[in-house]
Amino acid sequence: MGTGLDSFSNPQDIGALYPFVGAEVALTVVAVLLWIAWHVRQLIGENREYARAVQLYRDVGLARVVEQDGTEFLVDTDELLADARKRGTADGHRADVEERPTAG
Amino acid sequence: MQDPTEALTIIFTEFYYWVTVVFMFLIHVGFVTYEVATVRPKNMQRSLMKSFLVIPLVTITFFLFGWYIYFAFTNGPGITGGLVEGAGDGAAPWSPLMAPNLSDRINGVFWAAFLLFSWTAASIVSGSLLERVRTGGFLIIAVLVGSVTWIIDAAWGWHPEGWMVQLMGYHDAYASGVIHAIAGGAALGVLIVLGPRIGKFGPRGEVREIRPHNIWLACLGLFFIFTGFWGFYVACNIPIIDIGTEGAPYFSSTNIYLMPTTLSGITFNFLMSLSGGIMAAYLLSRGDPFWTFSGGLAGIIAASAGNDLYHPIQAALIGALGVVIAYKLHFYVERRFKIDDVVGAVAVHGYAGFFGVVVAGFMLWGYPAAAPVEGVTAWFTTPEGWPAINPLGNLLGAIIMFGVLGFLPAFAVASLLNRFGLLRVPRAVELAGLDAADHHPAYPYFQGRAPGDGIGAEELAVARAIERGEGPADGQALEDRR
Repeated sequence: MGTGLDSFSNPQDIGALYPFVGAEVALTVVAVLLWIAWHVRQLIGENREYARAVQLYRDVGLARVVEQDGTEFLVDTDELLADARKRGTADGHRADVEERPTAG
Repeated sequence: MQDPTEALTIIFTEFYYWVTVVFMFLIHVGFVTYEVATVRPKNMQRSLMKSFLVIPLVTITFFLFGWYIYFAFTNGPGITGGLVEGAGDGAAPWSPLMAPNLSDRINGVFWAAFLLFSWTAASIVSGSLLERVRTGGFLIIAVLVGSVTWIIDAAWGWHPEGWMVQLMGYHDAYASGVIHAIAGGAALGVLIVLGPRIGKFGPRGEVREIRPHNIWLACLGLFFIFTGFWGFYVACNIPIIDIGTEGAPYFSSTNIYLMPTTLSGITFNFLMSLSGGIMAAYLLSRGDPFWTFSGGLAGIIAASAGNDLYHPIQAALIGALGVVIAYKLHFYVERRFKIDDVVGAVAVHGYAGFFGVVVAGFMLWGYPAAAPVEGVTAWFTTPEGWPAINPLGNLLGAIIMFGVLGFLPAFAVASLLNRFGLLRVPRAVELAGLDAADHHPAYPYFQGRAPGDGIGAEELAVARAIERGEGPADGQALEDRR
């Protein structure tokens, strides 16, 4: 049983060094599919992220976020919404925020 | 490999290209560094990710089809022939030579050298679009430029048998047009569709300057690019090859067209064109660090098309003149057409590259462009019947690079992405900052404490307790060692 070479005694007769010689076309197909799937997944994730962000900014007030110059972020959603409600700027609509682990 | 001389030559060549690849990695380090330094802090992390992801996506796609394009498309769209037969033998992704293989030691390192050029082409576009382009949309454009359009132009004009070389006598040794003009043209095509950043232009159309948030880091990034550019120049050469006639071997390094040059010679010209560019940019910008450093880059790019053959002083003068043109054009286009090119990439790469190609046509008029291939008669030939470098061929070549393969495809794809809402971030996200939507602050402890992490509040409580006399201010906080 072996996946490729079993001897390096005659290097002049050796070509391909990798295992499973003959699987190159299948590997290429897999790579193409993964590459396209990556773009699709990335775009879907990005669309969701922007939809969440736009909704949140609507809820807590975009001006407030802009005043922070990018130092407020979505993981603070509950705190931001509570504060906005206290100040009467939130319209009561809860942003559809996906639960994400916070860093650190 | 059983002949020692042959083995030494091949393994030297293999190592030579490998070293260039490692050097060229610094180009990307530089691009990432100066892009992050150029944007406002609220956009840093997303800009970093956008630029960094060029590496895997262009690499995968260059493996899948970019390398094949270089060998298969040299005849152009039916101009000097069709698709090159056998191009896939060593360059198709399923070829056994696109993997560890004892019967070939050059394919991988040569592929990697071209791949690093591909990253560069895509990254040039990246800098122009900062602070408002969507990562997903940009990455599609990066694949287009890095693995399709630039390598088509390399097949056409940066290959000894490319139709532009054979028919038009196109000459562009260190890629003024082949990489820089095409990337600059592509950046312009995308910028027109993308539009300027919010607030870049005032209500009366006045231009507002958005400064880099860390000018020192931006300049350090450009230093890295200069360093990587050495590797780029060396990678554009063939290190050792017999260019002698039959029976009279003569070993030399050559440019990409297999025409003789020397590593020593291009070292003169690299440094002199860099210097010419820096000196001109310093005076023009009145010592603005960002533009002085960028001017060095533009100086090299302006002279690159002919830096295999120029005299060093010619290289310096051409570099300086290219910078004057690029700098003036950048601000004219910004004012007149409201194009918001964040890092000036269209100018530094596009205009300087275009200028460099055109100038090389005049400066090297009559020089042999490449050895002729059978069945193709060049527009202009040397007395020996070889395709000759000429102003017309290089002028048309510059238009093809900047306009046909640079601007048009990028404009078309950007328009398509824009139609589906995939090109520009939502207005609220742009205002809040790209990072605000999905990242922690870039400098969470910049003002001493981060909001909301509880640590700052506890520190404040302890400080107040000390003020009330509830704990000593001197000594060590032994009670907090838990």
